[in-house]
Formats: sequence, C-alpha cells, structure tokens
Amino acid sequence: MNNTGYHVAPAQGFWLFVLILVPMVIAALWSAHQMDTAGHAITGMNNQVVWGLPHVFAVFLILCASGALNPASLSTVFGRTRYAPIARLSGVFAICLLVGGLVVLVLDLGRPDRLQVAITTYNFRSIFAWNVFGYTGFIVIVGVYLACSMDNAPRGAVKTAGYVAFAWRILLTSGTGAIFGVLVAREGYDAAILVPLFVATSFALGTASFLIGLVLSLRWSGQVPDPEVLTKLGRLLAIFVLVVLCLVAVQTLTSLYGGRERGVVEFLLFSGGVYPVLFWLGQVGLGSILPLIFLYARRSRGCASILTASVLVMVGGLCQLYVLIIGGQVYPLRIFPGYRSSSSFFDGVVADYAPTLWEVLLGVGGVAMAVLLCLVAMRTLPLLPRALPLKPGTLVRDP
Amino acid sequence: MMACPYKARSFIHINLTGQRTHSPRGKGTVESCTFCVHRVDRDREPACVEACTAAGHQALLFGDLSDNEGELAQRLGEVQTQQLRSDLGTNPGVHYHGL
Repeated sequence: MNNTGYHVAPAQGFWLFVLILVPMVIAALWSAHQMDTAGHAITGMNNQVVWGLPHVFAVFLILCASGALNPASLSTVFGRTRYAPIARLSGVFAICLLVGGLVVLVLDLGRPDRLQVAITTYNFRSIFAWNVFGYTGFIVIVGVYLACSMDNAPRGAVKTAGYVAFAWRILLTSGTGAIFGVLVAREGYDAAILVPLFVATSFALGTASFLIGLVLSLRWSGQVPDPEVLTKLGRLLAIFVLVVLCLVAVQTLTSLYGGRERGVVEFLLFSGGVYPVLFWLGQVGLGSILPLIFLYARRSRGCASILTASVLVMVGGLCQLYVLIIGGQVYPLRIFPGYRSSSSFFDGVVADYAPTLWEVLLGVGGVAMAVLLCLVAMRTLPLLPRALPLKPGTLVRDP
Repeated sequence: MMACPYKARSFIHINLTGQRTHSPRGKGTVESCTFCVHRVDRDREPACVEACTAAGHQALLFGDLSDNEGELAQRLGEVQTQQLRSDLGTNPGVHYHGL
C-alpha cells in the first residue's frame, strides 16, 4: 500500500464521537424495529404520502454520496492534481454516505425481509430495479478505485477506475432523478428536467458535505486545510448552487407557462402552507442566496465562511427534497382530468403529512451511520493527507 | 403504490388478524382490489356488483373483457364509456359511463 503522505486519524476524540453517534444509530434501528412490529401506522405516512421523511434523508444521503466523489473525479478525470491528496478521502466519504442512505431506505420498507425479492427477482421495466444495480455498482467501482489508488496499482488502472466511477455516479444520480422524472401519476414529479436537476443537486450537496467532512477531519487531526483547495471547492460549490437555482427556475417557469402543472406549482410555491415556506425560506433563502453571499462576499472567504455556506447548502438541500418528495405527494392525484372531483375517498383533497419522531430518528440515524462509517474508515485506513497542499509527485503519488 | 395513478393500491399500516385463506394480507405489504377472484373462480360475481344489483341500482356490470360474445362486450359496443387517465395509455379494465 502506498501510504506516503497519508496517515490515519488520531485516537484522540475518536471514542467520544463514537459515543455520540452509536446511540443515534441504535435509535434508528429501534425506530425501524418499532415500524416493523407496530406497522407504519406509527409514522405520518399514509396511502397518499407513501414516501415520508426517511425517504427525504435517504435521497439526500444518496445525492451527497454521488457528489462527494467530486474531488476524486477532479483529480483523476479532469487532471487537477491539486485534489489528488484528498481523492481517497473523497471516495471513502462517497461510499459511507451511500451506505447511510441505503440503510434508511431499506429499514423503511415495511418488510425489510422482503428485500430478498428485490435482489433475486428483477423487473427491468422498473427504474427501481436499475437503481439496485446503480447503488451496488457504485460501491464496488469506487471501492476498486480506492484499492487501485491506495495499492500502487498502475497509473492506467487508477485512471480507468476513476473514469468508470465518474460515469457511474452520473448514471446513478440520473437514475435517482428518473425515479421522479418518469413518475407520471404525480404532477409534482413527471418532468424530464428532474434528471439534470438531481445531477446538479448532487454536485452541490456532495461538494458541501465533502467540504464539511474535509475541514472537520483535518481539524480533528490537528491540520489546517489548504486555503487554495478550500477556496476553489467553495467557488465550485457556488457554481453548483447557481446551476440548481437556474434549473429550479426553468422547471417552475415552464410549468407555470405551460399550464399543465400550474396547480401543483402554485400549491408548492404559494398556497401550500408549509411547502412554500420551506421552498422560499429554506431552499431559496437559507440554502441558496445566503450561501452565495458567504461564498462570493470579499470579506468572508475564509474557512469559517465556506464551512457555514456548506452547512446552509445542506439545510437547503433537505428543504428542497422535502418540498419535492412530500409536497409532490400531498397534492391530490388528477384521476378525472377536466372534472371537479369530490368523494368520500379524499379525491381532490390535499393530503396531511407530519413526520413522527420515529421517522426523524430513522432519518437522522442514517446520517449518523454515514458519519460513523467515515470516522471508522479514517481511524483505520491512511486517508488523511499529512499536509496540504502537496506538490504533485513529491509527497504523494498522483493517481 | 407510488406509480399508481388511480389510488388503487393500499399499504397495510397495522397488524391484521383473522385473515381469510383466500386473502392472505398482512402488515407491511401493498394490496389492491382482486375483483373478488375467489368468488369469480366459483362463477359468482364480485361482492360489490352483487350488493349493487341486490339494492336494485344496476350500476355495475362485471364480465370478461376478452369474451367478445359476452354481455360486457356488447354493452361496451352500445354505450360510450371512458377509462380513467386514458391519456397515460395504461388501458385499465374498468370503464365508466356517464361521467
């Protein structure tokens, strides 16, 4: 293993983090057990809102995972050797975040034991079936990339693994976006633009989560992050946030102009109670405009500003996914197009949804699981660069 | 459940007891109307159709859509009907008249 220039995280503080995170993971498992034994009646989910808060966290973590691979791709695919020292950290974060997301997804199935059916019987007309391969393939490919870059593999092998991982992460996020994009039954989804929107959101969330992980893990080991790497990743984050904003604006305006989905857009943006608040205040205000101010303002380009902006982008991402996933479901289905419908079966009625504590515990537990896995990986493997920046070819081999 | 445009799927949110042999439904799974397949197999009509007829409404007609000589096919040829969300091209087996 080529560990020149890398070290494992220090023991100091490790068990304290474990003591904080393990109870959160246990609480998530307890919550899943409760749902399994008492049924989903203890959650806020119902027949209209099938995907609740745990799914918001699961999709959030999956998007973070895909985007956390950005520094590795920048180094290997785009030849930016500045990011080479943090490439393996990027790959490990990506795998851990994805595992955290998948744990939430699986534990919320209602019958996790029936997962064996999803693994052994494939309906290839279902995008969910494609995503099973997407997620497992991502873990394997990024694992191979990490093994190659850490184990003195030939430069060509590292590059090939890096290229495949980059292509795969684009496919993976496209697949996640397509789950919603081709879901024609729900007017709040059913838009091809959700595919590039999910890819862009993963770039933003992944870069933000990586920046938080990088700064905190380097500080944990008593190091200062390379200001140039931080600044450049911060600028990238700003660009990704702008792209997400632009795509959201295009989606919203075309829906309003075209008229077909005007009802659901007006509901999510203006009349839908908590959803417009989360959209304007959470996604647009706190999650986009404020981080852009932090990232672009001349006087606040330091590490603290970039860290604050990253946390805000993560908060905005959660709000964005809550509005999309939950808001898209509470809006009534248009079963009788062209008719005004009312019935004793809630036709034409906006559904109620309020997450319960069980869902919060499961969702937050998934994040805790991802962070815990990152910490264990950093404590056991030489992932942290000794110093930043490293001149290419001196302390660390450029993959 | 998520993809069904008709609200025709239900998730079982609680523990169930006393399930019948012909309907082994259970918590944590998704179910939908089976058109009372256990009754149809014994040449009976679905319970809702039977109840509707018994009440004298005659609002429901059940039959085999693939049987070109059957009463259902004949009525479908005579009466203008609509399928819900026909724009999606799912060709559901339930036709409505007089919406």
